[in-house]
Amino acid sequence: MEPVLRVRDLGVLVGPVPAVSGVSFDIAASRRVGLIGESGSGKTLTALSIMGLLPEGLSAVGQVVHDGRELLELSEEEICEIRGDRITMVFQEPMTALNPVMRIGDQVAEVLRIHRDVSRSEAKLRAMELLRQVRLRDPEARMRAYPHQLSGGQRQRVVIALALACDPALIIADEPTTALDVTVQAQILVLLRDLVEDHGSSLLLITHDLAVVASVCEDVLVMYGGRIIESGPTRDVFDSPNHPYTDGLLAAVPEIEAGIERRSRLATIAGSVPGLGQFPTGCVFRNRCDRATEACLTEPTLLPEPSIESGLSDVDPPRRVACFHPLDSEIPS
Amino acid sequence: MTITDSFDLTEPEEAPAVDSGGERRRVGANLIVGAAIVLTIVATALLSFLWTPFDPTRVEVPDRLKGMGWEGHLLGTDQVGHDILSQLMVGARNTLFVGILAVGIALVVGVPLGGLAAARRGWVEESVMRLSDVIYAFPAILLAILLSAARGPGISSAMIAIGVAYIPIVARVTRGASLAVFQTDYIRAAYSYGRGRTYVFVRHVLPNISSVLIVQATVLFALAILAEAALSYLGLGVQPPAPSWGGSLVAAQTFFRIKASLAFFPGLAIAISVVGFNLLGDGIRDFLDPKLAEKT
Repeated sequence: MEPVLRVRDLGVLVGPVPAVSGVSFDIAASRRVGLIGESGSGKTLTALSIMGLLPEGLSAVGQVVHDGRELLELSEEEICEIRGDRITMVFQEPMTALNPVMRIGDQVAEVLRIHRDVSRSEAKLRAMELLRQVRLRDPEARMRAYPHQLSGGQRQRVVIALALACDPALIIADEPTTALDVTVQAQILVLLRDLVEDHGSSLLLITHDLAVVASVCEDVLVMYGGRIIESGPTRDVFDSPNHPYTDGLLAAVPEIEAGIERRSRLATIAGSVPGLGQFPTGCVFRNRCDRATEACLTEPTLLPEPSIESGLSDVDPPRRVACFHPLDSEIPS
Repeated sequence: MTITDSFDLTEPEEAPAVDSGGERRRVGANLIVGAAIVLTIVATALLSFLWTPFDPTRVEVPDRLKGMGWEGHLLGTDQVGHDILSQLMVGARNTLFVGILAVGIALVVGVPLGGLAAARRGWVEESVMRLSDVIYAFPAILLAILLSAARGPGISSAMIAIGVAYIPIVARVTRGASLAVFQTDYIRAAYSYGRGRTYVFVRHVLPNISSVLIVQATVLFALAILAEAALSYLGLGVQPPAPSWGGSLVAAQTFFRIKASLAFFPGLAIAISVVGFNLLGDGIRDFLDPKLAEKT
C-alpha cells in the first residue's frame, strides 16, 4: 500500500545554509508519527515544506509525494486543493491561530465551504457536530462566540476541529500543546489521538516533549541539525536508543522521584546546539558526542532510505540510525 | 511517561472564559457630538429633497441682501434674493454627494492596491507604492484644474479629482495595516485551509483592518468637504446656479464690504461639518480600539 506521505531527500535552504537536509521518511495510513528534536533542529521547517507554507524567500527541494502527486511541484492552485482538505495543520499557538474578528462557527464552517460543496446551513450543522466531537461544552453557544471569549484549551479544541473538518489523510500538528497548561495538555493530546484514530487520519506530531511522543505516537523520527538521525517504532527507540543523541535526549528527561530524593544534577548533553551553518563537517553531532572517532570527522552519516515496510500501516517500520558507531555496536579502538 | 485514558476529555466545567481584560467599548463624547452633527447634516440634505423654506434658485432681486428673519427668510437673503437657508440645505446635498463618491473612489481603488502591495511584497509592492507616491506628490487642485480642462468643470470632475488624490492615502493605510495582519499566525492558519492570497485578504485580512479603514474614511470625508468647497470656490466644482457652500462663499466675497455676514453662514456650515466628521472619526476610533484611545 502507498504511504499517505512519502518524503525523500527533503531539504530547505536558508540563504546558502541548509537548515534541513536529506530528510526521508514515510507515514503509513492511519499511523501516528512523532517528530522530535530541539528548537532549531528543522522540525517546523520540515512541516511547513510539506504544507507548501514556507515563509517568503525559502524554498524546499526534494520529493514530497501524497496520493501519487509530487507536492513540491504543484501550482499554488493545485496545492490549495490538498491543503486544508487532504493534509491539514494544527498550529502551536492557539491564542493566535484563530481569526479574532470571526465567530468560531463561521471559521469552522468556512473550511467546509472551501473544500466541500455544501450549503451554508449544512456547513453550520457539520461545524457544530465537529465542535461536539472535540468535546466543547454547549457547542451551539460556542458557534457564536469570538476567539477572545475562549480559553487557550478551548481554542486549541477549535483548531483541532478545523484540522479534522474534511477528514484529512494526514494531520500535521506542530507543538499543539506547548502553549497550554500541563493538565490541559494531557486532555488535548488524548483528544487529538482519539479523534485522529476515529477519523482514520495519519498524524505527524511535532514536539520536543518525549513524553508526548511516548503517549501518542507509534513511530518516532528524531531530528538533529536539520537531519533525521534516528527513526523506528517509538517503544523500541525509547527502550534502546541506537544514536548517541537520542540516548542523551532520553537521559536528560528529569525524573521527579529521583530529583526529590537525591537532588541529583540533571543529565545534559555536553555543549550546545551549534547555530545555523556552524554544524561540523562529517557527522553533525560529532562535536558533542563521546563516541566520535576519526571516521566521524569527514564522512557525513547518512540515514538509510526507508524500506517498503515503512509504508505499511500494520507493520512496525524497521529501525534506522545515522551513526557510524551506534550504541549497539563496539567502538573500534 | 504515559497518559492514562481514563479521564473525561470534555472541557472542564469552570474553564475560564478569557475575557481580554478591560477592553470595554466606550461611547465617548466625541462619538455622540460627531454623530449628532453628521446626522443633522444628512437629515438636512435629505429634507431638502422634499422641502425647503423657499425655492433655493428663485431670484427675487428686490428682496436682496435682507437680514435674518426678514419675511420668513430665517437667515436672510443673498445678493440676488436667494433664501440663504434654502441654499445651504441644498448645498449640503451636493457636499455630501461629492464626499461620498470621492471617498468611495478612493476606497474602491486604494484598498485593493494597498492589499495587493501587502500580500505580494517584492517588486509588486515597490511599484504600487512608488506609483502612489507619484500621485500623492501631485497637488489635488492641479489635478482638478487638469480634469476640468479636459472634461469641463462640474461636480463629477471635482469628485474624481478629490477621489484620485485620496487613493494613495487609502492605499498606504491599507498596506500598513495589512502588513501587520499578514504576519499573524491566524493568517498562516488561513492559508493552511487551502485558499490563495486574494481570498485570504478579502475574508481574513480586510475584516481585521476595517476599523482603521472606517476611521480613515471619515477623516477623508471631512477633508473632501473642504476640498469640494475649495474647488467650488475656484469655480471648478458645483456650477451655479446649483447652490453649493463653496459657491456661496465666492459670491459673498464680492459683497464683503456691503454685507460681511453673507459669508458667515456658508463658512459656518463648512466649519461645523468638517468638525463633525472629524469628531465622528475620532469617536469611532475610540469605540473600536479602546487601547489606542488610552495611548493618545
